[in-house]
Amino acid sequence: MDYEVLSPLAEVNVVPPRALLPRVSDLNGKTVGLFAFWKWYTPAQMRVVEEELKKRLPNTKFSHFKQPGGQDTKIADKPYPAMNREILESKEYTEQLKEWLKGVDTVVTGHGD
Amino acid sequence: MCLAYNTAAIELLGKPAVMICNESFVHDAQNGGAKRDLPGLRVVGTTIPQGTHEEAEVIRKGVPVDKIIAALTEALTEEEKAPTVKDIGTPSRIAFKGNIEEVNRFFYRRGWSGGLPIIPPTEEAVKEMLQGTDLPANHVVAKLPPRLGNATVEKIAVNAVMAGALPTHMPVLIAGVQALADHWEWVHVAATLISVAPCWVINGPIRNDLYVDSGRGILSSGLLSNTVIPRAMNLMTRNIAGVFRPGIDAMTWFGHEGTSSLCFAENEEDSPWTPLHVDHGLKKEDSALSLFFVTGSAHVLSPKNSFFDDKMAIDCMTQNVVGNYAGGHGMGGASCLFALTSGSARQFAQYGWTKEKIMNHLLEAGKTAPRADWVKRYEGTWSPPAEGLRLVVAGGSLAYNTAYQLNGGFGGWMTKKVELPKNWPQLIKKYNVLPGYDLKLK
Repeated sequence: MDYEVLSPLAEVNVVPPRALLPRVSDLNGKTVGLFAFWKWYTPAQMRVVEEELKKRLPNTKFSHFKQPGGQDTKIADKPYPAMNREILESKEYTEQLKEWLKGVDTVVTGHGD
Repeated sequence: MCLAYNTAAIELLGKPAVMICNESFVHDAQNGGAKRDLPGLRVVGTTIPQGTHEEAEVIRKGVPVDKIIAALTEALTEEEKAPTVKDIGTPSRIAFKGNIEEVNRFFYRRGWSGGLPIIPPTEEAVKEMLQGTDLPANHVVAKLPPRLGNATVEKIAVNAVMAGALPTHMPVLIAGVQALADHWEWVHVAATLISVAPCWVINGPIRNDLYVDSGRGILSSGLLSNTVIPRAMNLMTRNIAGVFRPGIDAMTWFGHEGTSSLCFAENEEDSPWTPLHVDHGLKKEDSALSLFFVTGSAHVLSPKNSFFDDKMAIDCMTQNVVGNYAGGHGMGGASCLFALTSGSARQFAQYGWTKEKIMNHLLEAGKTAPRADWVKRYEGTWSPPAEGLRLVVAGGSLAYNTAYQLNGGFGGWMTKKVELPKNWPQLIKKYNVLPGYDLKLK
């Protein structure tokens, strides 16, 4: 006996994908933003990234931004539901991020887990 | 996954961005970018051993600095400038035609079934399943991340048929989809390395309509509702949420044995306390489903187990709640569920223990119990599990110093009211799910 069966796979709303933003052509003289996720060795990883980039690019500047949460944030006091949430869910957090982004030319985000 | 979303957000806010992560997360990160309309997200994999702490020299060896510079500066490819849609998003409604073995093989090879046999979801079977709801088939109950698949009523019904569910399970499954979509840690659970499984607790009158086991053997009773509800939910996490490929979208190291099997009801009739859904703000006469995420579980037994002693029982529970707390699953408030037999709960109540008193005792005593020293290392870091600690009455009637603990993590509880269709009385009469053999449910 044959069965004609329906697909269990859900449809996904397809929206036109975005293009990447143009890269900076040269990091010399630019400010690289280092955005650290809250997890584990991420802050140390971003410090190493800064140190290593400085060795190669002495004229590059750096600016750090850390997503709240994790070992140096009291969860009960956390200002945003940000540990595993999206920035854009928080107006306040988004505004902080926008302000920080004004001072950088390009960004490296880091996940240390 | 979450950082990939945030990296895509940074591009949306106007700055070019590159994400770095352990090489085992690169696929996951790229999927995350694609889910936020940025399929070209540049991701650089590191070879830093997972579990590294602050050791700068270990990290230094694993950070590919030249690749990071290249990702920041190399001109965009044509595909990155004008990305094309790779996920067409609209699968054919009719998937296949074949005999039962061929259908099962077809579904398994696509990752749609998880290995166990399925009931073929034919048009007729799905139509019958749709009797379990008044919602139209094309109604989108939720979009389930990370794939953001549209959980239409029809797709829920298809997966329900596959799992062996009946139309009377549809209201619970719809509530389950709502709970999964609204649980703030689901995306994290899908992407975590830790072993986590969803646990579904059923409350209210629907427990008895569906004979969801709340008594002896709740976690292995083999009753239909306890079995098919979590299996259907698991199929939906595969086919709607898109979480099933190890190392690509399912990142857990070990997985979890309860991924498609953790579901039980509370024995409200024999409980001296308010039921779980009432603690979560619903009325006692409401039917409800509650979701939390379980890491490990343990049968809490005292050294002397053959008589009830409230102090011994609470001591045993205290030792275990500290274990849970010390386990580090404090993200957003560790969750922890103790199931007490109705006999133990009544004994506790006779000795003057309210539910609140037990939970407060567990939280306070846990801070000074032997394993609390371990916890103190992180004092001020991990939240105590006050937000997530719960007691339910389930698991038979014996009054021993015994409880069952489901250790959680990942952000507490999500409870949804189960909405019943107008023809519910007729449905539960038609679909009798009580086994024909002798059993003692309480």
